[in-house]
This record gives sequence, C-alpha cells and structure tokens, in this order.
Amino acid sequence: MGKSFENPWMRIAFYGAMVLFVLMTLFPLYWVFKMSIVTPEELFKTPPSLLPTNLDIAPAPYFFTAYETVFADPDFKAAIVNSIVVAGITTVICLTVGSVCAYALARINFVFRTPIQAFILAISFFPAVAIIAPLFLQFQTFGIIGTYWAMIIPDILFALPLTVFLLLAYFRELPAGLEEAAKVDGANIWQAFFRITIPLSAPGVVTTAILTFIFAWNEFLFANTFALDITTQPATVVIPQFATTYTTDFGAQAAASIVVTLPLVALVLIFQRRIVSGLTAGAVK
Amino acid sequence: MTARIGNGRSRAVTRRKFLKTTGAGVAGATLLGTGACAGFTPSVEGSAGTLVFTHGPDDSGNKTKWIDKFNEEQKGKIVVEYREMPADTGQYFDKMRTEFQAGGGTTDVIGGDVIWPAQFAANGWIMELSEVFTEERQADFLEGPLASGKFEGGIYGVPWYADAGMLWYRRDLLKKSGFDDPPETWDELMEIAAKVQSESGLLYGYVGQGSEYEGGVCNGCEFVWNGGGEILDPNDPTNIIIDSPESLRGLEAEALLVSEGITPLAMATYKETESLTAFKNQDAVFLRNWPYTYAEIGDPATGSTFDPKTVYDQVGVAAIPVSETGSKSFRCLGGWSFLINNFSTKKEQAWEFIQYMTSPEAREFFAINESNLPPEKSFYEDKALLKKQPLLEVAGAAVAATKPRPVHRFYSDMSLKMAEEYNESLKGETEPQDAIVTLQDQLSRIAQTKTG
Amino acid sequence: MAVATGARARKSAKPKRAGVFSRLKGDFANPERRTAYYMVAPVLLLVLLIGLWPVTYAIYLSFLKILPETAPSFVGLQNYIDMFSDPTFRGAVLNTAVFTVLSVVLEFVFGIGIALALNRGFAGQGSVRAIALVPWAFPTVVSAVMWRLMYQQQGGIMAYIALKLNLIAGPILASEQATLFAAVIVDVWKTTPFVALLLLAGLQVIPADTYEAARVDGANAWQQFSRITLPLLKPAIAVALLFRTLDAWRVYDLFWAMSDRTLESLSTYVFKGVRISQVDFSLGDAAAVFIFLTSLVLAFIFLKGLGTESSGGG
Repeated sequence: MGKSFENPWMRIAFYGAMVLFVLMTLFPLYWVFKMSIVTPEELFKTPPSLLPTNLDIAPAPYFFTAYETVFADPDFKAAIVNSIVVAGITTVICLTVGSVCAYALARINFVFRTPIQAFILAISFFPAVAIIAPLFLQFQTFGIIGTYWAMIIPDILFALPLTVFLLLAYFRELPAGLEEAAKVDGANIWQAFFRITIPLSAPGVVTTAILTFIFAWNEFLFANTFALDITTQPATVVIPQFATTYTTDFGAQAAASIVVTLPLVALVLIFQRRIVSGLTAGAVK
Repeated sequence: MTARIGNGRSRAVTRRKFLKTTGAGVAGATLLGTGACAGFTPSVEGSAGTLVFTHGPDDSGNKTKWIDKFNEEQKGKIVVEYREMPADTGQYFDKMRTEFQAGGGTTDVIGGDVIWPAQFAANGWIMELSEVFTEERQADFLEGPLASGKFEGGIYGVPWYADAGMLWYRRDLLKKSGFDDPPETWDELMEIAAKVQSESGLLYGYVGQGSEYEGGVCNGCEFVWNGGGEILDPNDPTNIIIDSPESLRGLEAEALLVSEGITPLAMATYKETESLTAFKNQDAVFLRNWPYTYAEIGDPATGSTFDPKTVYDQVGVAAIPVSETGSKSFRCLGGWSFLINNFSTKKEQAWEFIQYMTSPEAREFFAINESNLPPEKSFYEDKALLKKQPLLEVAGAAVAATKPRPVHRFYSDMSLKMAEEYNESLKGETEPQDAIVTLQDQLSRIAQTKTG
Repeated sequence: MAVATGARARKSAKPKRAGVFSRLKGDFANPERRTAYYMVAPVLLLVLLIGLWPVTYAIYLSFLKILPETAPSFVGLQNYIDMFSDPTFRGAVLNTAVFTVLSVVLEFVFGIGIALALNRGFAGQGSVRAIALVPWAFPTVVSAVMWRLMYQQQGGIMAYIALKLNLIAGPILASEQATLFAAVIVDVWKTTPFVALLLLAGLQVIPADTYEAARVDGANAWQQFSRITLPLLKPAIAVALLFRTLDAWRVYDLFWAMSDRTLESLSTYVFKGVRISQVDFSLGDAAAVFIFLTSLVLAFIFLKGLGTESSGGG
C-alpha cells in the first residue's frame, strides 16, 4: 500500500480528487445509459434532470423500448457480425505474421534488426488518410470495394505495429534459457518458437490478441470509406447513422452505443491488469 | 521445466512439415470457403427476379406496406427488396456514387433525390427513359418536378413525390394578436413574430433548417431567391450570378432574424427533426418545413403536443415570405424521383415497378397517409381526394411555384460550399456580403471545371 | 566520471565493426540469422504493399489533376498552390493545430497527476486504474456520438452545464470554436488514461531510494518533482508526446462523428476531397501528402529530441 498523508487536509483533497476523477470518467457512460432508458419527451427536456423521471409511464414502462428497437433492427445485428468478422480476421492475420516477426526481432541478432524495428514502429505514426485515395483506386481495379477485404487490408497495416511491439515485449520478458536448452537438444529456431515461446507467452499472446481485436473493432475511417452497405458495414459506421429520414431516434442511438461498448468495457475490465502491463511494456520498451 | 521436442531431427522435420501443410490447407480452405460468403466478394446481384430498390428509412412503414402489396400481386415473378439507405441525403448520394464508381453496384431502382439526375446522368450511370416515359405521360406532370429529371435533352427520372418549402404558422395565435393574414415579406414576419412571441409567450418566432447540410442549402437558397436573386444563370449553366444586391438582401434578411432574436442561434444546428420538434412542442410561431409536417402535427404518436381535433384550425400554411412586397415567392423544390441504374440487368421489371409506384392508387395512398405531394397536375383538381387530404389545396399552388437548386453535373460540390457559407452567414460568423462573394468565387470555379 | 571513463575504455576496447555488406553475408551464412529474415519478411511485405506503395502512388497522384471522365493531366505543384489558397484548408490546419496543442497539453497535465497518484499508492487504486481504462475501450466514433448527445442543445447535459456556468451564449454545436473545445474535452476524457499509464510506467522505473535520499537532504515535494521526477521521466514523456501529437494531428473520427461532418480537420478535408467531392479529388490528395510529410517532420523533431535526451542521460 502507499504512504500515508501527513496532513489530513491533503488526504481529503487527494481522495476528493480521485473521487472526482472516477465520477468524471464514468459520467458519460451513465448519462448515455440514462438516455437509452427514458422516454423521448424526457430526452429533450430542458433543463435535463440528473436522475431519470417518468420511468413508469403508462401504458408500459419505457425502459427497454430503445433496446428493443436496437435489437430488432436487422441492420444492427448485421453490423455487429461485420465488426466481429473484420476485427477477427485482422487479429488472426496480424498475430500470425506479427508473432513470427516479433520473435525474430526479440531473439535473433541480425544486421537490420534495429532499423526494421524502428520502421515498424514508424507505421503507427502513419496518417491513414494519406492512403485512402490510392487504396480506393487500387481496390477499384481489383473489384474489392464493398467487401470485407477492403477494410481488413488497411486494418492489418495499422494493427501490425501494435501486435509486433506487444509481442516483442512479451517475448523479451521470457528468459532465453529455455529456448537455448531446446536448441542444444537439437531443435531449430522454428521449433523453439512454436513449442516453447508460444506456449510460455500464451497470456501475452492472448492480451495482444485482445488489444489488436479492440483496435480493429474501433476502426472507422476505412470502414466508412470502403464499406458500402449493411452487408459489410461494422458497428462503428452504423451507430452514427441511427436515424430516420426526418427524425433522429436519440434513444436508440444511445442504446446502440451502450450495446456496442459494454462488451468492450467488460473485456477491458476483466483483462485490465494484463492490458496495463502490456501497454506500458510495449510503449516504454 | 524441460521442453520435450521429440527424438531427433527427422521426426521433428516431419512434424513441422505436417503442421505447415495442414495449416496452409486449412487457411486455404477457409479463404476459399469464406470467399463464397457475403461480404468477402462484392455484393452479388439479387437472385433472378429480385429487384433492389433503394431509398431512405421508412419511418411510418407506408412505403414497405405498398411494396409488399406489389410483391404479393406479382406472385413471385418480381420480388422487390427495399434496401434502406442513410437518412441524410448527402450520405445516401455518396454511397450511390461510390457504388457506381466501384463498378455499377447492385441496385436496380433508385429512389433518388431531385438533385441527383443531372449528376448521375452526366456520368452515364442512370438510364435515359424517353423510350418508356413518353411525352404524353410526361405532360401529366407538373413542370418543376419533371424538369429536375431532365439533363441535356433526355429524361432520366420519374417524379415520385414533390416537396416544396412551406411556411407553417400559428393561425390562432396570430388572430389573437390581431393578425388575420400570414406575412408576405420578411419584415412583416419579424413584426408579427415579435408581437405574437411576447403576447403568447412562445420561445421562438421563426425556425427553419440551418445546419450545414442539404436542408440548410434549401433554406439558404430560398432566402436568396425570395430576395430576388439567382444562383445559376438560366441561360448559361456555367455562369454563376449569385453575387447581386438581391441575393445579398435575401441572406441579410435571414441573418437579421437571428440578430433580432426572432430566430434562435440554435437554428444553425437544426435539421428537419429539431425544427419540427420545436413547432410540435408549440415553442415556435413560424416554421419553415416540408409538406410532411401536415401529417406529423396531427399525430400525437410522433410527439406532437397539438390536439388532433383542433390542430388544423390552429395551424395554417402560407408561402415563404419575400424581401420585396409583391415579388414572386419561390419555394425550394425538393422531393424524390425514380431512377433506373444503367448497370441493371432487370430494366423491364424496374419500369414495371416504377409504373406501379406512380399509379393513381399509389399517389392517393401516399398523399393521404404520408402527406406526400403528388407530382401530377390532375390530383390537385380531384375534389374527392382534396377532401381526404386538405393539404393538397394549398400545396398545388406551392408546387407550381417551386424553383430547383442549380442543375449541374457537379451540383454536390456546389452544395457543399453553399451549405458551409449559408451556415456561417446564419450564425453571424461570416458577413452575408462575404458569404456571397465567396460563393460566387467557389461556385464559379466548380461550374467552369472542364471535363472530357 | 568513473562511469564515463569506463564506457570510453570499453568502447575503445571493442573491435572495429565490420562493414554492413560483410555482416549481411555473415547473416545469410548463419542458418539462424538467415531464418530471421524469413520471419520478418511477411510483415515487411505487407507494410510495403499496403503502406509504402500507396503512399508513393499518392505522392505521384498529387502532381496530377484528376477529374471525372477526364484523362489525368500533369499540373506540377498547382494542386498544392490551390490547396494553400483554399480557405477551407487553412481553417482545417488551424483547427487541427489548436486541437493538437490543447489536447496534448491537457492530457499531459491530467495524465501526470493521475500517474503520480497511482504511483503513490492508495486504497482502491486497482479499481481506479481499472475505471480509468473505461473511456479508452470506447470506439472513438461511439464516444463522439455519446458526447454529441450530451452537447445537444435540447436535453444535453453538457449544454446545460455550459449555460449555467455562463461559458457560452448559444448552442455549443452551432459555434465552430465551441465545438472545437468540446472535441478537445472528449479527446482528453478518452486518452488521458492512456497517457497516465505510459507515464506511470516511467514513474515506476524510478527507484524509491532516490526520493528517500532527496527527502533526507531536505527537498520538498515540488523540488522532488521538478529535480528528480521530471528529468528521469523525460524518455517516457517524449514517447507519450510523440504518440499523442501524431495521433491528434491525424484526428478524423472524433471531428466527423461529433460535429456531424461540419468541423474540419486536416483528415476530414482529405476525406471530403477524395471521397465526397467530385472536383476536388486532387486537392484532397495533395492535403493527404501534406499530412504525411508534416507527420514525418514532427516525428523527426521528437525523435531528435528523444535521441539527445537519452544519449545525454548516459
């Protein structure tokens, strides 16, 4: 535990600041949740009330109406499926090529190791907008606009630095001794990789997978550019569009936001320790 | 922990090879398999007999109802699939354009905005219809909506329903404050609004759509036109003439509404929803909005606070005010037309569907249930229909006085600039004079872009 | 002193490094090091195909005038000239610059505070750290939409608060300035945890003894912070600064979703030009190259700064 405060006022101020921080962090989540359960009249009420009133309005409580709209909407379900597919495939591909690459960077001292490391890192600074024009023209030629691949391909590019560097940090943490022992036993480097490194760093691999998945899930620019209709549009594109011709169903938009975010929040909370160590290890190293 | 690898290199090699080959096999099979799934290949056309029809979201369910009827009557010969598009017409347009650019897309019939035919036709993306849409049939239609579908001598769109900007007002409150007639000029409107606002305690005098989007362009253009100005030279489609004293006084009238407090600054963020909500909540004296307002104010299910029995006595509809007494009032032409995708392989079925959707029965259905304005002259003289849908009485005059937004193949670029400048002028972040000069400059550049 | 001499001695004791090509040859001779090249090849190939090639193509495109139904024509630097004369572009640069400076500064100030608090340790710190991660889990677009709902004039809690505090006269989303500040708030809310974690990692590396020694010497809290914490934290700060600045410079999702496409950033300008406009494709592409080059410059500046720091630190 930490040191105690000499001054009781300092302690109050400190904990007060922490409470304030927690409240401000969670407030938007609470507010949007409230928006998803109240009636349309109350949504637009000025001044807005902190706590929901009118929850039990006749003939039936309004509580779930927005969620019913959201779940009944086939577009929303399709969007979630699309998000899963795109993020999933991106993660699988990134893990496959990225783990092998990270292993080489971690364990083998070859000539271009440092420049390649720096190069891969540099990609994370790359402005994605810079390539939507040429990619659009290229994808047009290959006829893949409006397919999952048009999103997966750019996602791979931008997720790779994250994947490689996280795995790099995890691999480096593993003592090299085990692999050395295996090599003495006659294994080549691929075997050492598959049979020893991967199983041992499984927690790290899982964390990397989660972070990569979340990263691809949150992607918006390429989805917005290349996904033409609901057969491919992921949730990030669909949610801002939750509107009808001359009206905007804010309640449904709020509900959709909650539905899309809660699983991510849950994932993050469950794996938070690993995520924190992964992020910090990856970044600092 | 000791790692066990296997006994000797040869076995390990075999295992590695095995893993490699099966891995590759599984990967390959997955890719090939998923290749067949939707989403991994560009959307394939609907199976034989499926006609894809795109339009914005169908709130009321009426469009779906009517399309279902069509499918039933067709008994499986043609099945129309209603594909919902974004509510925002700008986004819907971008989508269609991307699809066309990507190779034609999969839609057959497009329920398109009136501002699209010229833009799509210029690129050869929609079918020219004069073979099936005969001159005689065309003669049934009102001039404004029909003209929006024309481009370089051909006809590309069959009008579905027409929209015209209208001024909705609280007849009862005006009477209470001693005004029998709606205002004809903006000055009159300000005078009336101020008085009624203070006497009846309403929040807003006038609300319209001022956000930076296509609806904002409609509102802004109305101010320009009703000030007496023009945007595109009617005789020369590459000549922009927005820079005129008339246009200026039009935009100044709009900015004055805000600076005098008749209109809230928030109007710069209003689209149709927000402005209509304000009116439905009885917060506004005057509202500029499209004809569907008629149906919504009488329907408490949409959140209207009006009593359906008295609302049509309380609310009246009038022409958009002008800047100079006696000059003609122009409403912005809106509405939607049916377009046929030039890449479609089902053009005959597409035409059959369009004829169904533009039949007299369809017109009546949508007029009564959606308060959509039919684009054909005859409906405004049908006494029986007028009884069922009183809006048509006033609407006839409105639709006859509509003016289209600039018809040009690059209209969407012009729209982006106009949306921005109108919005800034409304907010007071730019002087109307500067907005007009900027637009003159930008729109000219766009209008004169040479292609080919 | 003693360390430096030792280092110098060690350096001179090292054998002279062989040239690059001979080392490469040695690499390919060694089976293990040769495998390394095969292992990194897929990633490098992907990056080349998906990243480098398109960027080169984009740079090439920026010297052409691209219009629908027209053969591209070479126009040299004209696109760039047009771009810089476009008031929308200049507005976008200004918005992006203001956004970047404000959000990075604020995220640092709050981030350091939170990192220090977490480093100090207190009851419930695990929960606070977990909660701090919540905003980071939101897709940017979703958080933009959520905050937009809160900034709405009708029924929006943030609009209400701003009104009560007399911060703004009209609706937030109607004023470009106010919307920009609103976007900064959203970004700070979302990313401060990330910055705090990065800084926390840097803090945790500093041994507690250093502070002990300083306290024994009579240093107060502020002196400890400015003389010990800050200097030792410089590498972590530089890394975080680098990531955040380049991220903020490329802002797109937030502006697009929160302002419903009205607030212009460099990236939204590119997107509109390339994907929405029909005549301004070339302007958009030129702007894309502009973002790319300025990102390179920014990265270079930071890395130079980081480089001198770490080598100076020894």
